[in-house]
Amino acid sequence: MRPYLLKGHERPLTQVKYNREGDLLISCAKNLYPCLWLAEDGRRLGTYEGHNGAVWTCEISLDSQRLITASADQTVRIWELPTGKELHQIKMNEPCRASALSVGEKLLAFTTDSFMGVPPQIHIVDVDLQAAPGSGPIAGDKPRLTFDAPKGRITRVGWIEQNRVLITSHDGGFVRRWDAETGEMLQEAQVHEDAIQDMQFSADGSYVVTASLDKAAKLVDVTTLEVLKTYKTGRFVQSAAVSPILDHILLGGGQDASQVTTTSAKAGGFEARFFHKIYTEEFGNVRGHFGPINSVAFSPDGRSFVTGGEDGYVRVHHFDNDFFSTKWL
Amino acid sequence: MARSRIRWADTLDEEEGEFSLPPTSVRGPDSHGVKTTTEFYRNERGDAFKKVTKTKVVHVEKKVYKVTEERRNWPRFGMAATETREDSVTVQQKEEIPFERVRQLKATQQEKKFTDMQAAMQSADKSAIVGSLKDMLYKRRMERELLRAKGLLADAEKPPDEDGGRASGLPAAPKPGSYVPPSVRNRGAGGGNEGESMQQRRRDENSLRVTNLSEDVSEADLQELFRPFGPISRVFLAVDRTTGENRGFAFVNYVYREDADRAIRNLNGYGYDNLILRVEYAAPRAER
Amino acid sequence: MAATMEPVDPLAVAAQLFRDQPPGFPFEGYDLEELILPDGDDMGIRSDEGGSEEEEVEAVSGFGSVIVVDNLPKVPDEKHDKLLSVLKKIYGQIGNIRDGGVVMPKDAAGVTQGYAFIEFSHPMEAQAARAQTNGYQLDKAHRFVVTLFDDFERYGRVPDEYAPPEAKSVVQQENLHSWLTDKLGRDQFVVRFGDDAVVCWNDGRRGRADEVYKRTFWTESFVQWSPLGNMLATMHRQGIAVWGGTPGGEFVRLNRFQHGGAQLIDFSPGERYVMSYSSVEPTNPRESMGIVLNVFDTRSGKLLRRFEGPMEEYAVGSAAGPQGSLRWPFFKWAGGLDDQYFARLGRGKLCVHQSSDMYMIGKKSIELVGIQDFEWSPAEPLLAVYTAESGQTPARVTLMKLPEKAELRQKNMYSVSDVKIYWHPQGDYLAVKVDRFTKTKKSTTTGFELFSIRERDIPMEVLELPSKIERTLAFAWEPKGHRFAVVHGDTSRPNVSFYSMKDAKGKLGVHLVGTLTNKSVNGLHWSPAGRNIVLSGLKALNGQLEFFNVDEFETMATAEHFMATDVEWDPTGRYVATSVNATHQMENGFNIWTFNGRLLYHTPRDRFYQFCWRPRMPSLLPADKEAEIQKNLKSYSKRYDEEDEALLMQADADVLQERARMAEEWRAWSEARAAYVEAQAAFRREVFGAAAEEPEFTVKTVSVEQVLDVREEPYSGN
Repeated sequence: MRPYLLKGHERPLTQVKYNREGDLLISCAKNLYPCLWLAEDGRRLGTYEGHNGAVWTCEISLDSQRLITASADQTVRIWELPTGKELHQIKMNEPCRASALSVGEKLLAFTTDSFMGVPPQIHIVDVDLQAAPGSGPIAGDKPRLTFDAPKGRITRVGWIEQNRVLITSHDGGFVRRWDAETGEMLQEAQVHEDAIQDMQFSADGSYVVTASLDKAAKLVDVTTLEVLKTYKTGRFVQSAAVSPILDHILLGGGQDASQVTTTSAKAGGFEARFFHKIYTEEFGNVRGHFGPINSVAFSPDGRSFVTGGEDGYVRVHHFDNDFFSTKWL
Repeated sequence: MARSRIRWADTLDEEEGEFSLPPTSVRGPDSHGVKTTTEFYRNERGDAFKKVTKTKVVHVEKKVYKVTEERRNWPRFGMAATETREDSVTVQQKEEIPFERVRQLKATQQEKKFTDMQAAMQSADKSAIVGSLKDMLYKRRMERELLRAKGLLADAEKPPDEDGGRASGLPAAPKPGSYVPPSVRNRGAGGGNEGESMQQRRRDENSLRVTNLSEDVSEADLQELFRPFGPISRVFLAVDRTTGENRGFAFVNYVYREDADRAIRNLNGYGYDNLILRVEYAAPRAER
Repeated sequence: MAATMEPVDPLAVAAQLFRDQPPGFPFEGYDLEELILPDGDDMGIRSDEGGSEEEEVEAVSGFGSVIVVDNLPKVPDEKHDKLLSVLKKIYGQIGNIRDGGVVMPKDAAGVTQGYAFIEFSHPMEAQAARAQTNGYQLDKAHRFVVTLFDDFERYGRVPDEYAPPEAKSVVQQENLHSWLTDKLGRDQFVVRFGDDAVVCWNDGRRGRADEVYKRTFWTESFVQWSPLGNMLATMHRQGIAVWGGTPGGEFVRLNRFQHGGAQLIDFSPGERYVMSYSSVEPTNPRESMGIVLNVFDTRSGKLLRRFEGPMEEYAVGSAAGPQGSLRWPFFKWAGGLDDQYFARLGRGKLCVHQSSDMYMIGKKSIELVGIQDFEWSPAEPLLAVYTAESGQTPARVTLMKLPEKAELRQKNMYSVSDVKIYWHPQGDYLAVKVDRFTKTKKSTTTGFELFSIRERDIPMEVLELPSKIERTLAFAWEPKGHRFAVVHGDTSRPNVSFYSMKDAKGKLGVHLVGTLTNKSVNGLHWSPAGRNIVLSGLKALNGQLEFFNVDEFETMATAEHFMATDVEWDPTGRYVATSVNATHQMENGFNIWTFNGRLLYHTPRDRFYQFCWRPRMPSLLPADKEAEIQKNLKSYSKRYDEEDEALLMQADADVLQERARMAEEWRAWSEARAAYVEAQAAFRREVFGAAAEEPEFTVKTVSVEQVLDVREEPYSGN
């Protein structure tokens, strides 16, 4: 493979995401401006200027017309994706962390970190993304529902069970299910022994993969919170993704303690690691980053993947054809 | 790929005396559509390599969404609006980044080997027990042989009876009448004429090059193997940066010259992990 | 063999023998061993295998030796004798006509009816007669139509009405070569111990043998692989059976060769023919031991030729064993895989047969007065022949090319006491060890005449051992190489010397590479790939083994297999098997070592009789390509190493089982969640409406350059 190196951020990446068709990429980082790229060849189309703090996560609407970003500057902003124009700001009093659009994109759930005595919270706000800019409110000013979560940063949020339930991942290794109407916690499970840094859905939405600082990634059934699979590594896992077409899991994270003394960092030795989803064995990896990998994502057609690193680089990889015909395991 | 790719600039840096390498040539595509590219390059040691790559143009069907075409033509905004090619925000990696296969095998076999004898005994897998027993005994026997060769063991110990007969894997000390390799023959003072500066004890002079190592050998293994001959100042195992495997050779620096001599005598030609080790004095290093 | 007086209807016999069984001789699924036939009596039951032509195995009885000559002139009484003598003359040349073997039926008037029956002494002759005279134009009006009587009868049985033949259902042939494509690259071997014979895989990587197929009482005496490894032969009272291995591991019987009391077997190098041998006890004290040797076509099982006669006719020169016995094989096949010629010694002659018709080339033997020994080159029909001194003619070694019988090279030798011929395994060189009497005739000296076959004019060099009076205990050429090893000197602690026919630059010229002195060695076992050799001290020396690398000229390992009786390299040169057979009471079993002397595993087996590696077919690569691969083994296509490791993993049965379980578990879970998944998808469609549909797309064909193969190798400037 000859990946594309995207140097759009001078600071560590926080999240990379594909749109529905897989032709666009959004990258967020600790610098202030998320970027829009063409996935095919990595060309930068634009930057979104407005935030005053690190941008932690983003969400792309189904039609790729709207971008939602959550930032440490205590705002959640909605942008006109193709043009970079900021359409709306939801101002909060705490740093905003994760966000997710409901199915149908009528609601937006987002989380805030604990700050100044306020606990970590989950908010649900009405949104009307189709509203033409200027013609009406894109989103409510205030969330229609806010509920507290137990101590520990809420790192990711997602809508499940036909928008009836929210699923969240937390510092401390917890995964929790919440009633989206009442905010009642339905179930919690301590899936990991340390913080869950990322949680991504499978293509069919029946399970998620969680990436944790306890040096493992796991597959969790969204309806029961049962742990289905465990992928052990010797290093922090910052992000994990499920291939939409093959039984592969992609992990990104730090470096093995034993290798710290070698010059892997200079040589671009940080790896994106591939595990067999069912047999849980690592079967391959791809090097290139000069620092830990903070975010990974598969393209919707499963033929590419993107990694965002602590080194400020985004690397877009298109699998060689023989990748799909090789019997890896 | 393990070996460094040919950079045409390399050929300008050839050392004197080495022959020049032919240029890269491309043949085809042939009737099957196969294109053959032949490249020549040198690795760090100056060894010449020839690399033949066969490629084929394959037609892949891709879904192209109509909307993608539209989006490609969106006007640039933000910082992208003023970008030019020279800003190189986007760069395609020149080097081929391979998908590296990971040998999970080692881990599995490691598990099977059961470093703990107890676990091995409890395992129902007889081959694992036998295998691990053999490995352990073999290892211990090798250690003993080495120590004996070094003269540290008073008596010649009998190795444990694992196959009903005495079986030594180490070339025994030259018996009277048996073949004596030239390097050992003239055991004169100071280990023979093995270099002008044998009186010196500078580290570089006591540097041994070990070649023909198997890929599984680690630095720890080398330490274990060479340490019995004397204190070691440094062990360097050449590791391939992209795969993490060793490249088949290593450098071992002894503090004392005599120990280095002895290591060569005992280990050069030693069967280690199915390969025959070469241990010799390293040539003076070229400037890096 | 006992003869039955008239042809027997096999079906009737079968019906009697197997009253309760369905008609048709139950050849399938019965055990040869269960069917006990009196020695030498096959009850007239014909072999079931074979082509459409039925061939009588019995020579003396039956109508197999009878031909019918049709379209003869119809002659009256007076011309009778003349016609008779013409026929006798024609056919007498082709074979031996039995007494009264020409019968020409006449009609009532005494005129011949236009055809005759001629009986030969052997069906082969009848066939030859038919082949040679069918269509013979006697005169303008009469053209012979010659048929075998049996055919005649058979044609007569053809029904007048044409009934279309039943379509035979296609019998799926098993892939008998599946073992060669073993993913792990393992070799097989067969071992015989107690009553069992077992075929196993040698798994060198994991240090163990994996059983492929085991059968008790598979053979009555020994087993033998065919030279290319395709078949395993087993010996039985009634003859020989050959078996092939199926992909599933089972060995199925491929064919049977009838030879009651068969004792020994030999395959032709290309496996087209099988020879079975038995010695025949004389029926009365004045007769000598006889031999019976049958030549079969391996595929069809058909008997092609039989050689019979007194043993002394065959026990000539080097074929003669102690006390007039016969060394096996005394018919030797020419080298190469064409199986065209085989030869044997005769008194003062060499009988070289061509396998196309089983007759001698030109129907006569090659006169070679004083011939003592001969050996074919292993690679081609080239003979090395040693004729002893006789009369004025000195002893000589001759190189003769067949079938032209051209003498390529000749070397006279004087004061010869004994000669031994050693061919290089690939036929590149020939060594002739000559023991010569010293002037006093009290002792002998040894020298070697070394011929370089591949060079123009076949140059020859003489090599004398440094100490001429030393005895040579063993000699062996290096396969695929240019060197040879000689064990010479004192019997208990001889020396082992290595010589090379070419120097480092490739120039021809034998020279000493090195000598190992004072070794307790009496056997030389080169690796089939050359380069490495195992020096063994077997029998009295109690199983000493030295694994020696000749390139580096150093010992890789010394080891011992106490009381080992045999040493055998596997066909690839990666492993060595040493075994202790039942000539010893204790310690029976075998060991497998790596090529450089590391013991991989040890398998004790009581009453151990045989260990035989399964041979492999020769590589399809030309020799120089092979050498190149050997040299650059490590740097060759790195990808394959990794794939090998993955394959190794895959083949591990435990792993496979665990994976199957995990896959099934996942599948079951997925199925349980299917309803949920569908509910979400339906909800999505409902809520998003049209937007949930996949957006419009076109299928674009993109040209991508895909890497097929990458090879790296060291480059030396050429």
